[in-house]
Amino acid sequence: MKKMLLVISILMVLTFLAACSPAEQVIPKTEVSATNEKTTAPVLEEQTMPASDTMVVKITSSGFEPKMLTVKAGTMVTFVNGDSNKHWPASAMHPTHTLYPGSGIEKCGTGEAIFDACQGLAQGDSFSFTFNEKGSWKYHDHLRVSSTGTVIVE
Amino acid sequence: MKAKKLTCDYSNLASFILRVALAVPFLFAAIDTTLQPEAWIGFMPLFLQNLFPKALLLGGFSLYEAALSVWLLSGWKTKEAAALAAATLLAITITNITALEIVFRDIGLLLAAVALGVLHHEKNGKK
Repeated sequence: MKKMLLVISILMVLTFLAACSPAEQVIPKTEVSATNEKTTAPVLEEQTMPASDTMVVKITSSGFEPKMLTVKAGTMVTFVNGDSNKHWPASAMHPTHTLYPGSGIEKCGTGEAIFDACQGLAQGDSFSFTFNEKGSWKYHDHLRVSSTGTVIVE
Repeated sequence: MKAKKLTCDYSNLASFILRVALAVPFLFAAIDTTLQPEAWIGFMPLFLQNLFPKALLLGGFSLYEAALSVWLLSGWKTKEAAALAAATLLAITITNITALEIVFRDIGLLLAAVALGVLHHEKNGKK
């Protein structure tokens, strides 16, 4: 009886650990951070991040996927270009990019953390930005103005 | 001696205002495209971006816009110039309709171009 209880306990602990371990996410080969620094990591390098702190928006030939994303304040959203064409995610409105507080295309190159990739992302490249301001933030592709999306920060 | 009755043809003034209203945005776009090409390439349809080099595409369209602007200001064949301006604005609006927050102004300009065309169609008819 004691042996059976021990086995059940071990199984429960293993189930708990499996359920609570952070989900793995593959960070693409090139990462453009919100501080506009471009860092190149080895192609096969993988990083793991807690799923609750990072969300991914994929950029395809048909636009952003998902087009609307709801996140909690403090969440990092990573925009990954999966298309062969270059894409440049940035805060609305085009061309000034000033909708998200503190952002603006004129700040590109200053090192400030702004909601603006500040350059076209090649296939496989990504841009990450941490949303701290609550609200509904529209964004677009600076190189394809008709491609838009929204991040809702709660 | 009979006193001459002064008449003023406001349609000429209206035509001039509409021509300037349309020519200025086209001219601004043409100049700004050469200064900040990256701010304008996004309005070009993707199939055109894939078909032509971006510099050629933007340069060509800038020249077209500048030429259209001069044509509108010249007052020569205004009805045709207005029709071309309307067609251009319609194409810009349709290809960027999902960015309505930006192109809603183009709808106003498009209707101004239509108004200019109608005005000159009427004027030509009276001659």
